[in-house]
Amino acid sequence: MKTMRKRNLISAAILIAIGIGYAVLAVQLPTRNIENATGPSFFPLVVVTGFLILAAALLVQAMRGRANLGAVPVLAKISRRTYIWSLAAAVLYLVALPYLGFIAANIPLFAALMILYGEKRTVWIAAGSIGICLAIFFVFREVFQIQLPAGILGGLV
Amino acid sequence: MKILNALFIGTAAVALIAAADARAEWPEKPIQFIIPFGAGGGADIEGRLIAKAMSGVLGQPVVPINKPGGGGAITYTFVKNSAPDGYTVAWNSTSVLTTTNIGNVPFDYTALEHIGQVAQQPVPFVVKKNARWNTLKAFMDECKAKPNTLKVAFAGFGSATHMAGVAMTQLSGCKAIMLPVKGPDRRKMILSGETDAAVDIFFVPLKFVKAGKMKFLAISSGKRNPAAPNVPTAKELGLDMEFDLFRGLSVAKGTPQAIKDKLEGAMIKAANSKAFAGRMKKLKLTLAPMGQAQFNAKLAKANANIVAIMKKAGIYKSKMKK
Amino acid sequence: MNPDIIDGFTQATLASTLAATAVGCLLGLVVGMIPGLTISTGIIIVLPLTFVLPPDISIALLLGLYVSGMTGGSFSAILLNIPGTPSASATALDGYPMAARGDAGHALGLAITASFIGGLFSFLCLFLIAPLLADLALKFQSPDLFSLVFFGLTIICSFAARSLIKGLLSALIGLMILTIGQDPMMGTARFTFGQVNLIAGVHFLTALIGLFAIPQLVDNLSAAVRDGQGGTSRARIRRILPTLNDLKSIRLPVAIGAPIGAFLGILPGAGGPIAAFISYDYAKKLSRSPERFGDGAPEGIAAPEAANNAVTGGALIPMMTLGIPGDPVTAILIGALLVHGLAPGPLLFLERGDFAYGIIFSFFWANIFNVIIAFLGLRYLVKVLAMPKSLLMPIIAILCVIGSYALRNNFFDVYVMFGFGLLGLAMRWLDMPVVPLLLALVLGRPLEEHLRVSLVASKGEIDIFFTSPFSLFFLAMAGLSIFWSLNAERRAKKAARNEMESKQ
Repeated sequence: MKTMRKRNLISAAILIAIGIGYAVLAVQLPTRNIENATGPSFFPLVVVTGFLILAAALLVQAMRGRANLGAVPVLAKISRRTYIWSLAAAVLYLVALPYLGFIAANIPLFAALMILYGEKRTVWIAAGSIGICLAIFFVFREVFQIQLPAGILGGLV
Repeated sequence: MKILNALFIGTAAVALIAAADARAEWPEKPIQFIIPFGAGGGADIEGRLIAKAMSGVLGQPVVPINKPGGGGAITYTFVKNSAPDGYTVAWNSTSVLTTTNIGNVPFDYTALEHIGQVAQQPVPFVVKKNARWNTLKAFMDECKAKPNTLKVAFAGFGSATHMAGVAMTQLSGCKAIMLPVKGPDRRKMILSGETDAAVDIFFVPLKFVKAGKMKFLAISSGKRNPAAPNVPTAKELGLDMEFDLFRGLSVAKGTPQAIKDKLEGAMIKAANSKAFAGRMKKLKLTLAPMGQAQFNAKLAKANANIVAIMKKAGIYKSKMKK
Repeated sequence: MNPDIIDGFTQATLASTLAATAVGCLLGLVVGMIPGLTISTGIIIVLPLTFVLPPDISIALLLGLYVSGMTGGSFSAILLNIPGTPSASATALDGYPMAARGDAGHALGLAITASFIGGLFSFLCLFLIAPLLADLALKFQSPDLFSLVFFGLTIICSFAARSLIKGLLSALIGLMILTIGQDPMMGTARFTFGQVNLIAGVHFLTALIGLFAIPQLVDNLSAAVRDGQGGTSRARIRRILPTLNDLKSIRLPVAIGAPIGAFLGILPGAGGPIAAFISYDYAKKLSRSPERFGDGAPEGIAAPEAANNAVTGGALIPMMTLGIPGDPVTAILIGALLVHGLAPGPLLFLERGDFAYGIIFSFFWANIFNVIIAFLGLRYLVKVLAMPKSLLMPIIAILCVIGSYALRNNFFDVYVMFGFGLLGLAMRWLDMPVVPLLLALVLGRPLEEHLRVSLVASKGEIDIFFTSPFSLFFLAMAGLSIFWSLNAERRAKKAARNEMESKQ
């Protein structure tokens, strides 16, 4: 019960901060003088008003300890280190993707994921990552007519 | 280490091939054909037909790629920033004039070079079949007599239908309630009587006109349309306007003239291909291929017209100012 | 007879469309069966294809997946006591005991048969109700449509969450994300921070891939660490086809499950799991021997299976006639239609009646193929349960990247997808449902447009929302759904507190 209360408090505070930031931006939106028309900031302001009221309600509920119901959700039973490494690897992959292209970037990703999901046989990892990534790339290009950028391998495939 | 070496050799080889490319005759590699709309829509299907026919003429694949969004802003920005080598072309539309002039992007249509036009369609002024107005004048007269009572729907501020709608109403001195409504909802609002009239694209409401559920009071183009020969043009009715929804090709500024001429030739051949001409006929769109000179003259005229309309409506470059 | 009906039937019965339906069914059975993959994941896998295939074919594929996913979920529920999809949770209550008794084939046969009847019943509902509702919806004006969409959103929130506040907050976050991009009326760029890529806004399919697939990948990670590779059933499958006596014994539960499922399918947000549990409860209450429930009673399998498949046809009704999705799958169907320039709504029946009926008949064929493929291929299909996660999950990860890229051929969307993945994890951490957020991304645009058009047309008078009878009705329903949900929440909390006190 306690963990959920803490989570509710933290998130309510974050949501209120986001809501206020959004409202400030919404008020500053440029508008045009067009007769009989509601401006571009009209709908965002309606939405953010409701949002702030509800976020405040969540805060109040959390402070009174009444927002908790059911079990505390668990994300994944893996160590914090695995979390951080996976996140860092994912970001690295995303940054590299436009430069490396869909084959060169996907093969290491695929291999890393196979290891992460418990595959230990090296041959399987090599064959699986290279074979499946190439297969997906060519199936998309030749069968489905979806061109995926090949990046640094552009001249080879 | 071996893998790294192989990679280096591979990259070097690619670079060499690319360098050799530059000296050979254009086109030596596939051409990207950027479509500013989502896959599957009307403009997309037509773009793909043109791209396919052009690859036949040029002997290299012309690959359609959709980059929708921002009323074409994303596609035009992408093509403007691409290398001026003719390997990246934009499937343009009237949006090249509207999205630029409204200020979605910090450049105007002259930041690109234009190859030509393929097809066009007029913008009709539509009312329900049993509406009390039988001419555009009757509608505008009632609107003048009772300002802010009649409602006219269009696709959204700054869109091509908005331009036509503003031109038709303001030139007649009419002050209508302008309702920005997307897609099929516009037709639905006419049928349910929620709006009195709508400015729409041509061929979809044409079905309702043929089915006896709606009628056209006027069209925006300079000439009457053979699919609805009895509908007068706005110009005939004394309104100083001439306005079309068009589709054609654009490339980055600085593309060599020889390449542009090749693209123009391929585009016109593709426009007259059986597949494309057949679809235009089926949809009742006007097949009107024109080359660089004619199209640039048309764009200049249409651009001046749109700038004037936007200034009147107070939305010219309005994104830019706070 | 309406010529559109014949055209639609022809369109749905073309060899290419039928083949797409069958492939969809096969895929649906597989993803439905594998615990850890939901129907939404299955759709994410085929999503890139729907951008390039013609609309009739991609819709047929998606419908096959939708229908068979509901059935496939019951296989693992029965064989492993792990529901393959949330909708099959109720099926495990009686299905697994029956399989444990050695009657696995029997249980599966009953589940498939009940699914089939439930699906056919909902096809009839769809075929008969949708055109009538489309006709009625033509009379709705902007204020009515605003109130209708508003009602849709509130009811989705009330079904989605244990806490109404969190459900509504989720929907409002969705609406706030939706306002990124061009304002639909004036075209002003909102919250784009000068990014050209943001002018078009966030595409909800990008959001969907991130919100659903990434938390699922993380989920499966802990499952893989916890129990190694996926479980395999040791249950023997002997006779599958149900006997005449079986059919007689499931008459009543199917007759209860099918209408409940179809009705809850029409209500946005309720969906398969709720329909399955409610019809299980009713079948138990109305049974002559309720004590057999939970112990492998055929009725306990038939009722929830008939209900969750009947949900599919029901959910298509508001999707097609009003453009209101009730669950992620119908939201994707709307997305697939929009990609092809076909906006669902009453005008679809007028402008493209052939296509609208084509969808309806494709749904019919999906049900037929579902039962055929399930019965013929059952013995081979269950082998998929042994497929290693270490291969499956990387494939899904890569398809997520490709899907979000191919939507608009834009790398930016891949980053947006990943951002939504993190958001999905954060929301799970907070016990906040993601479905309202996703559906708000679909419904937000019409909500804003109808609201603002109404106000322009009325010159700023708010009365119009209360003077139109339709609008008033929908607003009242919205109020009712909030009230009902608050009430249910209060009772649940009270029960939880009592339970705690009695433990102390």
